[in-house]
Amino acid sequence: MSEEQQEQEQQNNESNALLNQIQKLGQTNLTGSESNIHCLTIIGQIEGHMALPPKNKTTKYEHLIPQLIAIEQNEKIEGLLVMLNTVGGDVEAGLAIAEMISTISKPTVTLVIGGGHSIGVPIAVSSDYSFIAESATMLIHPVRLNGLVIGVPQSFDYIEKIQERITRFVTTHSKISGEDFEELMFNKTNLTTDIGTNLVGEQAVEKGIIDEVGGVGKALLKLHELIDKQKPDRDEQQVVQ
Amino acid sequence: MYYTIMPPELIFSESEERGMPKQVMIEMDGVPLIIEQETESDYHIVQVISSDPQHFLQEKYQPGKKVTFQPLLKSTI
Repeated sequence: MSEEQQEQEQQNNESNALLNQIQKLGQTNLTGSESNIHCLTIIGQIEGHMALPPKNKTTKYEHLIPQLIAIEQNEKIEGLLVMLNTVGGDVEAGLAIAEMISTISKPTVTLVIGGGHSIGVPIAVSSDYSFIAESATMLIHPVRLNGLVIGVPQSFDYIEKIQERITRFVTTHSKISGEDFEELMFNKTNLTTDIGTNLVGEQAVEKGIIDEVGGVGKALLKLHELIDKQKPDRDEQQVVQ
Repeated sequence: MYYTIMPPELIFSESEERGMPKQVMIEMDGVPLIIEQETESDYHIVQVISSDPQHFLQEKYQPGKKVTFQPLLKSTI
């Protein structure tokens, strides 16, 4: 072995030792501190297949999806709280997150604080029970097309299909009908520079998109209630097995 | 395809950008963190990206805290 290689190996050993030290140091702190409710925060732009410029605050699906899988698989985790304060973002990523939340077998509660706009709407309704803070808003508007349009009928068809996917998801996961949702989407009297509707707190509940007005306390209470309700079912299943 | 209330020119404008500082994602004691490099082995915590709310209460993982981490076994985000 040459001197250079030996030196390299020594360096590797040193860094390994340091890594072990870091890992060992904090372990005592962690024991018994695991929470049975996990929380996901969806903030800023929902990032899609393209990384957005760094000045955007983003939620990345590659962070969220493994966490959602872990939440589903970890037996110690009994419920999921999703906090939303988002301006919207990528349709595919947003719908992917919404689908994941809606198909988790554990109780889920979403809470819109600040804002849950555009693609944030399907995520907000994806849970078992949804809350909106009194001052929070949800902006429902049509999907827009940016950039080059080559074939008008094809582009129109494409954009309509995307809008349909969003509308279908929202209407199947909340109490609002497709017609009512589209009426909000194409409302010309609510916004000055755009078409659509800005729903504030209670209004989102009145329209049937969100289940209840409330904050963190109510959301956690509801989640515990849902967890308790699901528990006997699980015990029964185990007995059958 | 974006469905957002932000105008695209605001999202995609790349003015006055001076290269991103080097950020890596690591896990310390099971706590997933995003850290940013200052010098060869000195980093500071940018964000805790765990779903476990208890992880956010640990003082040593508060954003801004310095961590020493050898550039070994890391993945760039």
